[in-house]
Amino acid sequence: MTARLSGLLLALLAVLMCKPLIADDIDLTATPDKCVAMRKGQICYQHVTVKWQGLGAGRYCLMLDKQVTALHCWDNNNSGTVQYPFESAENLHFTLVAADLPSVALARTSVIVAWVYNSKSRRRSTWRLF
Amino acid sequence: MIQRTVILLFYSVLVMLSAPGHAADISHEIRQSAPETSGFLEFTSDLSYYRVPIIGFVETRATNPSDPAGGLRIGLHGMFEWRDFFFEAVHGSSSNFAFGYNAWENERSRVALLFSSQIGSYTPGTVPGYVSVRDRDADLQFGIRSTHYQDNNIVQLELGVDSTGRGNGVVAAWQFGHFWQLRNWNLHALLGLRYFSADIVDFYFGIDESEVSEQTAVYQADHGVLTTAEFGAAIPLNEKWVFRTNATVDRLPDSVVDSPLTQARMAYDFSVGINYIF
Repeated sequence: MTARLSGLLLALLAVLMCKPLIADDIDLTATPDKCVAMRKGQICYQHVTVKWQGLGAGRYCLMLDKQVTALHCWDNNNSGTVQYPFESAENLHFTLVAADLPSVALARTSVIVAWVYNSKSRRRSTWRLF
Repeated sequence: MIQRTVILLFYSVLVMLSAPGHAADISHEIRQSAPETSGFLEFTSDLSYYRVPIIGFVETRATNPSDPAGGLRIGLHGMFEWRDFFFEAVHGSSSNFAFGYNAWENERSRVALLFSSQIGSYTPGTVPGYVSVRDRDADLQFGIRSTHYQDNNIVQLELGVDSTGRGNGVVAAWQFGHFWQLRNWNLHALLGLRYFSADIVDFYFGIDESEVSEQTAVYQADHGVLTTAEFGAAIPLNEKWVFRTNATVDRLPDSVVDSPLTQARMAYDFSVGINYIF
C-alpha cells in the first residue's frame, strides 16, 4: 500500500517537473488572435503583432511551434514586439523562451484559425433508392 | 440479440440524420469556394445596379419599365435538406427555387433529380401600353442535375422538361465555374449556356392575336440560348459576416430580343453587399 502511494507521488512529481514553467506575470499576446478564412482548410492570411513584457532584462527568444529556429530574439530587453505575417490553415502557437534555456516555455499564446463555411468531406460513391 | 438490434437501429438513424449532403446550385458553391455539404441559410443585403430589359419582368414603372434600376436589396437564401431531399432558393442563381432528391454521389460528382423554376412569373400587362398582354405564370421544370468537381473547378449540367402541362418545353444548361484565393479574398468566375426550347420561349415572349396592341405585334418565338458570365469576390469579415461584390452579364437569345416585350440585348446586375451566415 505504502509502495503504491509512493509510486503515485513519484509519478505526480514527475508530471509536475515535466510541465513547462509558465509564469503568470509574463504577458505574451498576439493581436489579432484570430484569423478567419472563407472555408475550412484554406490558408488564412493576417498581419499579427506579438508582444511580451513582465520579465527582467535578459536575452529572450520567440519560438513558433514546430520550428527549431527562433522567430525573433531580443538582447538585454524586458519587453519586445515583433510583426509576424501569419499564413496558415491551422492554429499557430507562439512561445517565449530564455535564449540559454530554450526548452522551457516562459509564456505561450496562440492565433486561432476560424472559417465561415465548414466544408465537410463527401461520401464515397453511393446509389440510393427512394 | 434484441438489445444489439436496437443499438444498430439507433446508430443507423443517427447516421442517416447526420449524413452529409448534397450538391447545391453552382452559384452558391462557386461563391463559397467549396461544395455545399450540409445546407445553409444566409441573410443577404446589397446595393445593386441592374437591368432586365423585358417589359414587366422586374418591376412596374410608368415610364421606361425596363431601364436600369438600383437600390438596396435584402433577403434570405439557403438550402435545406432532410435525408436526401432538398429545397433551395439561392440568391443570384439561374433558378428561382428548386427542390428534389440527391440520387447519387461520389468524391467528384453528384446527381440530383429535381423540380426547378427558372424563369418565374411576370406581369407585362400591368405596364401602361401593354395592358393587352396576359400575365405569364411561373414555369416548373422536372429534370436531372449533375455536378462535377475538379480542383478549383465546378461543372454543372442540367436537363429539364416542362411539368406544367403547357407544352413540351425543354431546358438544358451547362455552367462552368472556377474559384481561386488571393490572400483572404475568394474570387470566382462563372460562365453559363442555357438552352430554352421554342415552346418555353414562345410562352414567355410570344405575342398571340389576343394580345396585339400598338406596342405589341403578333410574334412567335423560336428556341434560344441564354449566355451568362459572372465574376465575383468575397472576403470574410468574421466567422458570420462576409463582404461580397458581384457582376453578372446576360446575353439574351435572338428569339427573346426580337420579342415586342424586350427592349435590349443585354441584361446585367452589379452588386456590393454583406451576407450573414446563420
